[in-house]
Amino acid sequence: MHIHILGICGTFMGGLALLARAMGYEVTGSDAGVYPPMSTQLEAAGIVLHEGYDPAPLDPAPDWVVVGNAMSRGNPAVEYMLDRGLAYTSGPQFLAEHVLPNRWVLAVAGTHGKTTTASMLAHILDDCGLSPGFLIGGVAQGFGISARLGKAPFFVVEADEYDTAFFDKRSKFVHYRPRTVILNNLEFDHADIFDDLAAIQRQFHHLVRTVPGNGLIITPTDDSAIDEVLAMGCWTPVERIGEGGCWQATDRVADGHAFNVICEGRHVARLDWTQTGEHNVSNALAALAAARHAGVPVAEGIAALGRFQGVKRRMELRGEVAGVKVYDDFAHHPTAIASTLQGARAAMNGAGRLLAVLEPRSNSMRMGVHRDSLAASLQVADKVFLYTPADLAWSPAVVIDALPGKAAHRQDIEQTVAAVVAEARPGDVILVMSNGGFGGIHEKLLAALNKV
Amino acid sequence: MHALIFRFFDICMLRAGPQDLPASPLLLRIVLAMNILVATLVSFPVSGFDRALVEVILDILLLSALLYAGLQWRGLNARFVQIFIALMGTGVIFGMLMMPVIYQLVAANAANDTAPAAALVWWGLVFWNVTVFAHILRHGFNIHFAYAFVVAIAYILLFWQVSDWIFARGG
Repeated sequence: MHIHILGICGTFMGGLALLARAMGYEVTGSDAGVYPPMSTQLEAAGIVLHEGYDPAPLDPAPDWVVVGNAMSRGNPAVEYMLDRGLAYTSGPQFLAEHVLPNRWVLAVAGTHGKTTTASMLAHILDDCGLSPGFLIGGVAQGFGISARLGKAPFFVVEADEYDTAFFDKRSKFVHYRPRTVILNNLEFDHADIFDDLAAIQRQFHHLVRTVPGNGLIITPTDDSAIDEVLAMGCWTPVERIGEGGCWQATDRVADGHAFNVICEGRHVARLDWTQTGEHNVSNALAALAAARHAGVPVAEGIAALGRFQGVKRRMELRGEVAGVKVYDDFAHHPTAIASTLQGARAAMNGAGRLLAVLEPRSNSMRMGVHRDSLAASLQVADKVFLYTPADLAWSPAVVIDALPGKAAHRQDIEQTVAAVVAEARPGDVILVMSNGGFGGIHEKLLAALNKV
Repeated sequence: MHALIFRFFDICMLRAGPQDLPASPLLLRIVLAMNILVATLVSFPVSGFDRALVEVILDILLLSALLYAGLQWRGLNARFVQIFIALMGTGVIFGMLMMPVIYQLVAANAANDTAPAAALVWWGLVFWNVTVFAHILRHGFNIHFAYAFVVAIAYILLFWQVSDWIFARGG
């Protein structure tokens, strides 16, 4: 079978392409931006890539055109596909119908921590010899890839609430029919497609409704937005993470790199690992709960997490020059930014200063949805460097004024680099946060630090 | 609203289950209040108002406590609200169906007469009510229907025992 994927170089669609290829399908694809590392990864798997959306690759017609959610009406390839009546489907639906049948799907949903928690879960299952398949929106260090077919039955999927395609505005995750679901947390985000939190909660409830009665839903004890979702109707057992819940962490060190795991009131083992931050403690407990549902003894899961190497772009150390460390993180929502900064601060043990470099790149950030809560989320940093491109829809003054003497903004990446490097001293940590490439700022910072 | 009312009828016809109802605390309060009213009116001609009201409240307390404990034991407590709404809501429907029959039976009894047709309808409604009770338990606890039917009968017998014991003690 031949499938052609429109928008193949996105993390999800690229991963899907690799899965389809591993299943023996002939896979081709088109994207506006075909560049490494995704393009090299896809081409190495024997996938033919086309730059741009010229309809030519759709003649002769493939068996299926798989349409990425970034595609919209007016796109030449989309219009050709519709005019010729080609068979088309969305990425999530293709995944559900071709990859996930007869698999035990473990889905990780929520506003923050999906990629990290899904990576932890896949790592635990893999470390325990279960060889799960996975499709994750990032690259776990231990796997080096974002998608793998694995062996039946287990399949870990990062369950995104973003919409499916231009012809299917349901959240992607309603397609996956998971048996085990982690709902990490729930906040208002994706203001470009959701009017309010209630609209997101409705989509989450659709997901909850698809989980079988003998499945499991794992949620925190202290998230009222998730409680409201479950109150809409839940036919699946629920295990809670956190104080008063089935799963708890006690005796944790400040930065979260060690803590005792309590399951159903019983101390199981102490987890001593490389990850830091309060959010990662919760992520670990959720991953352990999901793994236990899949049959992994808790003690073995804890031992596996002790060998977890983290996820690329999640507090990833990109380099150290003259005593200045440059970290990269995907944080792009005030809650995630605050949590990441707190984790970094705790891990520094009072040594050096924490310099935060932020690109407000997500649609919600660019629209200014979080502008009033952004300053508070950056409070933990010693210095804040905000990159504010000229087309930002709001004034950064609201952040700068709320952080007097601490924050500054630049409209140019080179100027941002120069300002950060001028401020940095040995022992400092530079934490770059963006959900995009940030114009290669990490390398530019390291190169500039080298010249000082 | 119409869809919701029809959902309760669907449960009575065994075409839907408690999982098809919303887990709404507001809906729970509404059907609970309606159930107390209708069930009291059904029991009133036989037991008198005071005893009818006490019996209805006792039934609700005993049922909710046992249901919650059972779901907790099975790790299914997330289902409590929907199951209880289903039991209360279908209880309202059966109460409304039984009301004219019970008044006819009481009237016949007062006239030292019999009403065999009404009695037949009464027992038919009782059997149907127990069947729906078992149907809801079957879905709620993921158990076989026959087992759920036995549990439903056992609950009714338990309620009678507890009720008799309380009123015997109360004189």
